[in-house]
Amino acid sequence: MPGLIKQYYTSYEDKPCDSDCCHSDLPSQEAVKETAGFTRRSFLKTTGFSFAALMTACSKTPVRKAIPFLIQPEEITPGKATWYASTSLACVSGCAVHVKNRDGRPIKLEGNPDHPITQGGLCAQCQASLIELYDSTRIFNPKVDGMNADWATVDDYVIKKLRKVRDEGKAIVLLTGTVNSPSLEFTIQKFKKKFKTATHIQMDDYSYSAILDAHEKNYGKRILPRYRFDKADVVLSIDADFLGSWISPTQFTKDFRKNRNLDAKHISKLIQVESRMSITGAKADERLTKSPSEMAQFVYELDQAIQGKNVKDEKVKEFARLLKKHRGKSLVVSGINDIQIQLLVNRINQKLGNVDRTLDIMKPSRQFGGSDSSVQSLIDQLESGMVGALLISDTNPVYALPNGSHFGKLMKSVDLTISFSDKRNETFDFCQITAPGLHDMESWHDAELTTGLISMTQPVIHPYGENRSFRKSLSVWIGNQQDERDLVRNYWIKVFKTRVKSGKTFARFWNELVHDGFARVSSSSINLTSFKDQSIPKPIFKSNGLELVVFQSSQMGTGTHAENPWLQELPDPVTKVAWDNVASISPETGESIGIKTGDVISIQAGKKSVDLPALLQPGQRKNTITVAMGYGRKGTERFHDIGPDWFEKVPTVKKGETVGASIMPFLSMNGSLSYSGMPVTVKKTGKTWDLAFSQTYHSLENPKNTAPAVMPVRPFVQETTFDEYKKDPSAGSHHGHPVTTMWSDDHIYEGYHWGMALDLSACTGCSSCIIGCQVENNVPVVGKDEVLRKRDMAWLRLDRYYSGDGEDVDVSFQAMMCQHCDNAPCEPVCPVLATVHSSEGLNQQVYNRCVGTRFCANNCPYKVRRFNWFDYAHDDVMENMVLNPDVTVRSRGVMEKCSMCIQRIQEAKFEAKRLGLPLKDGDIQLACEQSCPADAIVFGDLNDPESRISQMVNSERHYHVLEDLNVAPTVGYLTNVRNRDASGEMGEHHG
Amino acid sequence: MDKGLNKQFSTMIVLILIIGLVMSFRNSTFHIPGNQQDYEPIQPIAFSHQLHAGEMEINCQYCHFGAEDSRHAGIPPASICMNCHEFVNNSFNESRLADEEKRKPIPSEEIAKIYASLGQNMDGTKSGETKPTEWVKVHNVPDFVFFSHKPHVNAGVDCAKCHGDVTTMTRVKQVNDLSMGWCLDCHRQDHESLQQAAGRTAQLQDCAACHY
Repeated sequence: MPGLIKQYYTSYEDKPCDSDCCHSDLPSQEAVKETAGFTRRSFLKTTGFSFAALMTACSKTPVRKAIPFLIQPEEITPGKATWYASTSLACVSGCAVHVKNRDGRPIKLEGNPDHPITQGGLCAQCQASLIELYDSTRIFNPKVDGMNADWATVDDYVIKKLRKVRDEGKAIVLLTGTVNSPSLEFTIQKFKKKFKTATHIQMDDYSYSAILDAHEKNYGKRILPRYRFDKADVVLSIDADFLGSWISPTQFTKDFRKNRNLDAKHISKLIQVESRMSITGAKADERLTKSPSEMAQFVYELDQAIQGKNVKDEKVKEFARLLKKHRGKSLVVSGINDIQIQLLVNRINQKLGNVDRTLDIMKPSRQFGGSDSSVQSLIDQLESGMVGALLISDTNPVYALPNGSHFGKLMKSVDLTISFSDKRNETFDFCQITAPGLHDMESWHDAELTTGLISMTQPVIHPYGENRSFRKSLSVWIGNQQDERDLVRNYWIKVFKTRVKSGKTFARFWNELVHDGFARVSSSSINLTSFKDQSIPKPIFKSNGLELVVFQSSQMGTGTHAENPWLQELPDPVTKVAWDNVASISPETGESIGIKTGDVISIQAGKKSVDLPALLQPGQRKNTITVAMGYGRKGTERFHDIGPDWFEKVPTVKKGETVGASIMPFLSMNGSLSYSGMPVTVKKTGKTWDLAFSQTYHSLENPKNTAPAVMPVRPFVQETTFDEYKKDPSAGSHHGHPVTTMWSDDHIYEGYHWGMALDLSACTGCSSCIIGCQVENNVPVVGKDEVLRKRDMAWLRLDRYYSGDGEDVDVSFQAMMCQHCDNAPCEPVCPVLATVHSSEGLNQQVYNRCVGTRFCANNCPYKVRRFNWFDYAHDDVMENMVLNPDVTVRSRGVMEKCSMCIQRIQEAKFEAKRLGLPLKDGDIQLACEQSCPADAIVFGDLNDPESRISQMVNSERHYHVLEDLNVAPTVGYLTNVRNRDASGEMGEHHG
Repeated sequence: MDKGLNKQFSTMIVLILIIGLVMSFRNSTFHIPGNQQDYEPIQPIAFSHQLHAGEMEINCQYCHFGAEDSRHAGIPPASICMNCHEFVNNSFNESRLADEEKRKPIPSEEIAKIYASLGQNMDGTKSGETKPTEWVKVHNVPDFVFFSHKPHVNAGVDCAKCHGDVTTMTRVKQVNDLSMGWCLDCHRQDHESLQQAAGRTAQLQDCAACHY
C-alpha cells in the first residue's frame, strides 16, 4: 500500500532543504583532538601488555575460594535474588519500587506494579540512584569543621549549642525539603517542643510554591492538587512538562497513558503551550510556542475567553471552545511558578468544573510543600542575625537559590550550621557540622505522597558507614535513643487507632505495610473554603528581547543526582546531548545573531554571566533561550577520571571543573522564585565546544549520495492522525515493496519464538528504559570523549526525529535496540560464528567466541551493535557492587548488543521448570519493558496466539523498521497516532 | 634455505619441545589451559564425602540446599554442620574404638575447626572471633559460562552425573573435564524428562543457553 512519509531530520543542521541553502554541518565528530600517533610510551605499554598476557596465559588456574555463611539467614539463598518492596525518594515525587537483592546487595530497582500512584513505572532518576549507594565519595563519618568525629562528640556539641541558642532566644531553623513523612513530621514537632525557638521551613530545589500559594488564596489551604490526567479528555498544559519532570512524571505518564488507549476509539487530547521543546511538547497533539511574556498574556486571554468575554486571538478562542466542550473532563495545568498565572489557572479550572473531577483537592498530593516566601523570610532573618542555628536536610540552598553564594555567606555568621547530606554538595561547604544521612536503600522511612496513602521505605542493605538518618539525629538531640526502625514503627503504633480503621491488628498492618510497600490509611479531612475569586491584574506585556527559560531536564532534574555517572551519560531526550547542559536557541534567533550549534556564548544579565555552548533547537520559540538546571554541580569534578585510560584520552571535564555550568544565579527571586522570563543578552565568545551528541551517528538513513531514487526517505518512523486512524487503522503504516527472499524457510521455531513490539503512540521519550537496560546488563559508562568518538555502549538508544518547519515542529521518539532479525545480516559475516541465531528466534552474541572483527556492526542496518574498545573499569571500584552477577562483564575486543535480557528469559524458564508449570505470557518482563511508565514495550512469545505480543503484531498499526531489507526483525513498532485533524499534516507523497 | 633462518627455525622447535616437556612434567596428564580435570585440592577441613554421603547416606541437598532453587548449590554454612556436630564431636572410627575400649572418645581436631569458625570451643564456651571457613572451590567453569544448578536438579539430573560418585571420595576430586563438549554430550540427547515442549532439545544447544 502506498503510504505517505514525512521528512524527518535529526538536528537543525541536518534538516533537508529544497534549495541550495545549506546549513553548516554539526561540529565534526572528527574534531576530537588528534594527539601524536604511536609514541614510544605507548609502544612500550603495548609490548608490556602482550608480554603480560603471554605470561598469564601460561600460569596455573588460580585457586578459587568459596566462603559460606556461618549461620544461614533464613531468607537468603546464595545466588538467588530476594525482592523487597520499598520507595525510592530519588525523584522526590517518590517512585514505589521492588528492590532486587542478590547476596545482600541491592542490584536493581523495578517499579512496584501494585502501587496506586506510580503503578509499576519507574523514572530514570530512581533507577539510576542505585549506583549512588555504592559511591565511595559519599561521606561515611560525622564531621566537625570538616574533620571526622564520632557521634558522641557531635551529639554532645550539638546539644550544648542548641541549648545555648535556645536560651539566648535566637531562632533554630530546620530548613528541609518537603517533609511528607508522618513520622518525621512527628519528630520535628517533638524537636520544636523541646527547643521552643525552633521553626521548620520547607524548600524545594525546584519550587512549586506558586501553585500552593494560589490554592491558599482560592481555597484557604496551601495544597498541591492531585492532577488526574487519566480522567481528563482535554489537557491544556502551559509550560508544564508533566511527562518529563513536572511534579510526578511517572505517575502522570501512567495516568495519561490510560486515556490514550487507541482500541477505545477515543483518546484524550494534549495541548502544550511552551517556549522550549519538552518531551511533553513532543507528545502533544497540538503545540503552541510562546515566550514566557507571551505566555502570561495567553493565560490571561484564555481566562477571559473561558469567562465568556471576547478575545482576539483565534487560537485562544479555539482552545477555550474545546475546553468548554469538555467541561469537567478537561484539565489546565501550568508549570510557571508565578502566583498570578496560577490564580488564573485555578479560576479556569473552577469555571470549567474540573475541580474534584480532574484535579483532586480533597485528597491532595503531598509531594511538594516548599514555600518561597518562607525562604525569603529566612534570608531576611539571617541578614538580621536572628538565627542561631541552621539545620539543613534534603535541600541544597547554596546551589538552588539565585543568591546562593550570598546565602552561604550568611550561613557563616550563624552559630551552628548542620548539614545532613551524605554528599559533599555546595551547602556542605558552609556547614560546621556534618551529620551524614542515609541512602534510601539503607533507611526506614514513610512518605505520605498522596493524602491517605503511606509509601514505605525499608533498608535493603546495612549502612556502609557510620551514617544515620535525619530523623534519628533529631531524635538523639531531644534525648530519644530509639533505633531507626522503631522511630518509624513506634509513630505508627501511636497513631494506629486514629489512622488505621481496617480492623487489623497493628502487627498485621505493619507487616503488610513493609511487605507491600504501601498502605491506605484514613486522614483527617481538610477544611477547604469554597472558591474565593481573586482579582488578577492584566499582565503588562513587555517584549524585552531575549528571555531566559530555566527548566528541569527529565534526567538531571534539580541536579541532586549530578554525581551519578549513569544519568550524566544518559542523553537528554530532546537535544540528545550527554555530559553537558546547553543553551538552546531557536534557529531563527540563532542565525540572526550569527550563532551556530557548538559556539560558546556568554549569557549575561546585569553583572551575572555564564558561558555555555549553544544549540539551535528546532521547535523553540524565537527570542527565547533555554538552559537546563542541575549542571555545574559540585562533585562532578570526579568525572575527570571517568572513561577508559589510554594515551589519547581527553578527560570528560578538565581538572577541577564541573560538568556543564550552573544557570541558577539567573533566577529571579521576586516574591516567588521565577524560572522563566528573565531578560538576558547573549554575546559570542568566539570559542567552540565539542558537544557529545548521540544522535549524529548511528543513523538509519540512507546517505544522500547512495539513496535509491525509489526510496529517498526510509520510513522508520511511521505516524498518522487519530482521524485517519479511525477511518483506517493501518493509516500511516507504510509497508514496503514485496521482496523476493534468498533465504530458505527451513528455520522453524518450534518452541518459543520471542518477539517485542514498541508502541510509538505510547512512548514519551522519558529514557527510563535506557537506564533500566544499563543497570540490568552491566553496560559501562564511557565518558564524554568516547561518546564524541561514537563509542557509547548503550544497548538501547532512543532516536529522536524532528519533522516540520519553523516553530511548528513535531518530535518522534523511537527506542532502537537489536531487532533480532530472523534473517540477521550480522550473522553471515561473522568469520568465527560468534553471532548466531537461537532456536527461539534470538540473535545471540557469544562473547567468548568473538574476535572483534566488527564486521557484524558494519553490516547491521540498525546500528545497534557496540564494540568494547577497552576494558571499561568503573572509575569507582566500589561501584562494581552494582553489577548484575547473572550477566557477563564484557572484556576488551568483543562485540555486544541487546540480548533481549536472555538472563531473564532463562531464569523464568528455570523457575517454571521448578514449579512444573508452563511459562505464561507476562512471566518474562524485560528490563526496559518493566521500567516503562508508558507501557510502550511488550515482549512475549510470537508462537502463542493469545499473547499480548501476538495481538500487537496482528494490529494494523504494526510495522517493522526497514522492512524492505528483508531482514525480518522480530522487534516491531506500532505507528504513532496523534490526536489531531488530518489536515495539512502529511508530508510528501510516496508511491 | 637461508642458513640464519634455518638456525632460527631449529631454535624455535627446540624451545617448543622444552616447553612441552616442562608442561608434561607439571601435570601427569596434558590438559589444555582451563581444564581442571582431576583437580583435588586440599581443603581447610578434612571433610569426607565418603563418610557423610556414602556411609551415612545423607542426602546431597541436605547440605547443598541451594541446588534446587538457586544458581549455586552452595557450600553448607557452619550452622548446618552444627545440626549434627553439636552432638557428634568425634570421628566415626574413634567412637567405635572408644566404645570397644570402654573409654571417653577423643574429640576430633577436624570437627573442632567447625566450632572454631563459630568462635566456640567444643564445650560450647566462647573461644574468640568467628571466622568463616575458606573452602577451595573444586568445580569451576569460566566466567563467560552461566551455569545454574536449578534447571539441572529440577530436570532430575543426578548429582553424580557431573560430580562423579562422591560417596566414594574422601576428598572431592573433579572427575569430569567440564568442557563444552562434555556439556553438550547431554544437551544433545533427547531426555525423556525434557520432552515438555517442542524444540526443547534445540534450545538446549543454543549458545545463549549458557553464554550471556
